[in-house]
Amino acid sequence: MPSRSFTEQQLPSRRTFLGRVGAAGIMGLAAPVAAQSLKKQQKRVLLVFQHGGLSQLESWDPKPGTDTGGPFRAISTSQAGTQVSELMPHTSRQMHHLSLLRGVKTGDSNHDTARVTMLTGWRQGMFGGEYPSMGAVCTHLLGDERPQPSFVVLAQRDQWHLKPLLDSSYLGPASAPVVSFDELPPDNSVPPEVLTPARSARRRGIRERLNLRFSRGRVSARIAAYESSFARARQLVAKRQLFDVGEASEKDRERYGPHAFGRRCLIARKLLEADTTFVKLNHGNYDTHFENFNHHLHRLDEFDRPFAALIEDLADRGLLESTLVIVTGEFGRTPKLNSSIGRDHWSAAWSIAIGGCGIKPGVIHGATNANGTEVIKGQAKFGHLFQTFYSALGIDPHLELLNGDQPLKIAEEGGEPIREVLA
Amino acid sequence: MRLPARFGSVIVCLGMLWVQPVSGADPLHVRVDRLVDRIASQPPGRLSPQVDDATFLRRAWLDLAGIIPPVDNVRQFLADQDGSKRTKLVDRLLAQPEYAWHMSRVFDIWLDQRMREREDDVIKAAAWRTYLRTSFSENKSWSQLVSEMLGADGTDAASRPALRFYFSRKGDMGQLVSDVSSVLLGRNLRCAQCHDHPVVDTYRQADFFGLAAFFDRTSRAEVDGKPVLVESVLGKTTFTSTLTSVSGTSLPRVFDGPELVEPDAIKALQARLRQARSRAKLAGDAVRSARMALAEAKKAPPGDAKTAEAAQVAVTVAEAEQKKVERKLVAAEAALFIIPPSKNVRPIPVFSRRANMAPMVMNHPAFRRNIANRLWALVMGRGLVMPLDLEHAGNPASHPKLMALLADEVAAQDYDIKSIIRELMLTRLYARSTRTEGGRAESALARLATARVKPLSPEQLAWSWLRASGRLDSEIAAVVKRSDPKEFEVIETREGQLRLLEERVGEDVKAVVSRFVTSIPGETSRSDSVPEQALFLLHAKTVRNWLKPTPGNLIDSLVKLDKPEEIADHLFVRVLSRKPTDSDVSLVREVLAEAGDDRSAALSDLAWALMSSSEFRFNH
Repeated sequence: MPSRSFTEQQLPSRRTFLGRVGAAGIMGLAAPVAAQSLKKQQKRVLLVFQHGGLSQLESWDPKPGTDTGGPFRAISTSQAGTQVSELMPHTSRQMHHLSLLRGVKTGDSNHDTARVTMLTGWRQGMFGGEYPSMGAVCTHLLGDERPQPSFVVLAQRDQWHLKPLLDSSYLGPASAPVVSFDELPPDNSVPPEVLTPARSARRRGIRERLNLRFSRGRVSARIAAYESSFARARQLVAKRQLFDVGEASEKDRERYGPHAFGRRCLIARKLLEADTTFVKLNHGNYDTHFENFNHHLHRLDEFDRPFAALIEDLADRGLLESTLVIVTGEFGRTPKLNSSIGRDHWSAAWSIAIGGCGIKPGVIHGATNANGTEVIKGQAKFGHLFQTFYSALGIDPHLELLNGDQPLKIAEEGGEPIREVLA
Repeated sequence: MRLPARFGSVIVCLGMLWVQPVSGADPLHVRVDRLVDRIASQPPGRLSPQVDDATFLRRAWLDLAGIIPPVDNVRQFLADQDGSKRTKLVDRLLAQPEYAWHMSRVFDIWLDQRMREREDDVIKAAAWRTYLRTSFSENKSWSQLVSEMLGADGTDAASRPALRFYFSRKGDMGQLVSDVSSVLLGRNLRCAQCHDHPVVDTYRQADFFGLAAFFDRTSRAEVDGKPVLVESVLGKTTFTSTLTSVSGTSLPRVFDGPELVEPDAIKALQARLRQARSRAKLAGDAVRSARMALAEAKKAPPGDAKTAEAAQVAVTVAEAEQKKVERKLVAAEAALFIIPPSKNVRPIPVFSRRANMAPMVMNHPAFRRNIANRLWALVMGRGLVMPLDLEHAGNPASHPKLMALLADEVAAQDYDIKSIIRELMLTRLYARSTRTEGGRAESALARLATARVKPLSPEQLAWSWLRASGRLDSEIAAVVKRSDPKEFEVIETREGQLRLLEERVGEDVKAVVSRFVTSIPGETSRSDSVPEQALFLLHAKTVRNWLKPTPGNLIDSLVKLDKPEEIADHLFVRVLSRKPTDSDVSLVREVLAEAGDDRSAALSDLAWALMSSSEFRFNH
C-alpha cells in the first residue's frame, strides 16, 4: 500500500514566516533565525485564569434591569463608552488599558475539556495525544534562553486537580511550568537548614563526577534532560525570593489588598519584572451553581483591587506594551438563573478581557442581545481567540512545531485573528 | 451464555486461518537475534558489546521485579561461576512474587491510565489491582485477561474486578471505544469519533462505530444492589460525520474484519419483537384515545348516556386488546433471551454483541501486533511501532519482519505474556550495552546495534530508592524487633513481605509517584524531567528521612564502616548494584578526606549523590 507521510499530507497551504520550528532544544534541532529574533523581543504573557467560569453578567458584560441581569448595576469606566459591573470598581479605572471580547462562543460547557481547550487552543484529542498549553508554546518560542523561571503557574493548592496539566506535552520538560502553590515558592525550593551551601556544593560535585562517567558513550536526550533539571532547579532555588512578597512595601500591600489573590498578583508582578515569559495566575472558584450573586460579590471583591493594581503597575512600568494580558476561564455562566439562584455553565455567549502587547486598548468587540442570551455581533470562537492571542505576540498562529516527525499547528484553525482588537 | 459462546467459536475458527504457521524449532530468542543481527550488522558502526553481569542483573530486576536487586543478590550473582546463570536468573525472577506485583503495576497503567480514583467507583482501584496481581501470579494469558475485561458481566466474583475497564470510563462511549482501539489494538481512533481521521487515511469513523456497536446495547443495571452490565436485544449503531455530514450505520466489527451478523433465526425473532412492540404501541395509543373519548363523553350533557356507554365499551375492548398484545410482546421478548428480563435478575440474551467482542477483537491481526509491540517496548524500551497506538500504512513498524515474527509467536504461544517476556529477556539484543562504540548513536539505536537507556517508571523509581536507602530493610528489621508473632507470620513469605511493605511505605511511594508521574498518562516510558523533580530530590523531607540513620538502613550501616574501600563497596553495591571502580573508590576516599570530622554528613552526601545520579535514574 502506498504510504503518505504526515509531512506530505500536511504541507502547509500558508508557509509560515518562521517555517517549522523543531520541538524542544533537547532534540538537537537548532531554531531558525526568525525564531531567535522573536526570542530577543522580550515579550511576555499574563494569563489570569478564573477557573470554574466567571459570570460575564457580573463582570464584563452587565445587563442591569433585565430578566437575567441580577441585582448589580453597571458603572462607567476610564474608557468612554465602556461599562462594567459595579463589582469591579477598581478595574473600571483601568479599562482604558483593556479590551473586551463580548461575543465569545466556544461551545464547550464541560470543565475538564473546556479547561484544556482554553489553555491549549485545541479541542482535546484532535491528534490523539495532548497538546502543549499556550504557556508551553510561548515558553518554547519566546523564552527558551531566558533565565528560569520561564513559565510559572500561581495556583491554590486546594483548587489543584490531580491531573497536573504539566502541559508541555511533546515540547518536553524545558517548556513545562513551575508551579507555586498558595503564594509560596515552588515546593521544596527552600533548602533545609542542615544543607549548607558547602554541602550542596559537595553533593553537586559528586553527582557531576559520577554523571560524567556515566554519560560517556551514551547519547540520550533523556539523560540530558534529567541533568538539566538539576541546573534549572538550582536556578529556581536562587530565584526563590521572586515568590516572596513579604518585603513588599506598605503601599503595595495596601493597594493589592489583604487577600491571598493580592499576594499572588504581587508575585506575578515580580515575575514579569524579572522577565518571566509566561505567568498563569489562577483565581477561583467561580463555579457558582448556587448563590451566584453572593459568590461573585466575594470572589470579585478578592479579584478586583489587586488585578487593577497589577494592570496599573504593568502600565506604569512600561511592561504592559510587551506583556499580553488575557483574562478568561473555561466559559461563562448562564444568563438564566437556576432554582438555587445560581448560574450554570455557559459557553454560548460570554466575555474575555485582553490587553497589553499587540492589543488595541479600549475596544469592545462583539455584543450579546439585551439580556445576554445570544451573541448578536462579533462572534469569537476559540479558533478566533487563539489566532488573535498568538498574532498579538507576533507569533504566526499557523506556525507548526514538530511532535517527533509530525508537524502540528500551535492552535486549531477555525477562524481568523480578530483584527479589530489587534494593534 | 452457551449460545453466544458458540457463535464466538465460529469466528475463532475463521480467525485461525489468518495466523501464519510458525516454523522452526529454534526458540524465539534465537530467531529474534538472527533477525536483529542481520539488521544490526548493516554498516555503519559496530555492535555494542554484551553488558557485564552487574548491569544485566540490575536490568533484569528492574524489568521483571520493578525494583533494583537486594544487596545479597548482587554479591551472590557476581560470585556465581555458573555459565547459564543469566538464564537461571531470568527464570528465578519470573517465578518470584515480585513479577506479578511489577507486571500488575505496568498493566494497571496501560489499562487504567492512572485515572482518578473516585468515591463512586463501581470497581475500586484496589480490587482491580489485586485482580491484576492475581492474574499475573497465575500467569493468566493476555487473551483470557482481555476476554474478562470485555466480556465479564459482573455476576462472577472472580472476574468482576475486570469490569473496571468498562466502569472507570464512566459510560463514556468515546473513551471506552478509543481505549479499546488504542490499548488493545494499537490504533488510536480517538480522532475518528466525529469524522474520518484527518491525517491517517485508514482510520475511519465507521471503524470507530464498528467497535462502538459491540457496546451499544450494553448498559448498567443493579442486581442485588450491585451494578452489573445488561444487554438489550435490539438497537443499531448510527453515526454522522461532523465534517461531511455523511451518515452511516455499523454492525459490530473490528476494523476491516468481518461484521458480526445476527443469525437468521435471531433476525426473525427480532422482527417479531419489533412488530410486537409497534403493535403494543398502537394498542396503547388506542387505549389512550378511547379513554379520552370516554372522558369527553362524560362531560357531554346527561342526555347522551348512550354515547358514554358506547365509549365505555370501546375502552374495555381496547384494554383487552392491549393485554393480549402485551402478552405477545413479553413472549416475543422472552424468545430472544436465555434468561428474560425480570426484577433483580440479570437478563441474558440469546445473541449477545458484547459476548462476541473479545473473540472478534482477538482474531484481528492488530490484536497480536499490539501486544507484541507493547511487550517489546516494555523490555527493549521502545516499540517497533511508535507511538504504540498509531500503527498504520504511513507509520509502519521500524522492522516489519521482526514485528511479524513477534506477533505470530505471541499468538502461537497463546498470548502467554510470561513466556514471551522470557524469550525477549534471553536475546543478545537485550543484553547489549547502552553505550555506542563509534558510529552515530541514533543510527545504532535504530539498527538495534545498541540497547536503549530506559528511564525508571515512577513506581520503579520509588521502590528502588526505598531499597537503596535501606528503608525497606529497616521496615523489616523493625518488624523482627517487635517480634509480634502475627507480623512474623506475614513476613515469613515473600508475598507477605511485599504486602506488608506496600502498606508501610505506601506514603513514600505515593510521594515519589505523584512527583515523577509524567504529563502523558499511560506513557511510563516518557520521562519528563522537570525541576520540581530535582527539587524533590534535593530538599524534600521524604528524601531527607531516607538518609537519616535508622537501624538497618544504608546510612546506619555506612557509619559503622571504617575504610574508604569498604564504604565504597557497600555504597555502590547497595545503591548502584555494582562494584565500585578504582576511580569510584578514589572519589569516596577524596570526599571523606576532605570532610575531616564532618564524616557522617559526607557519607549522607555520597549516598544522596549516588541515589540522584543518572546511573540510578535510568535502566541502562
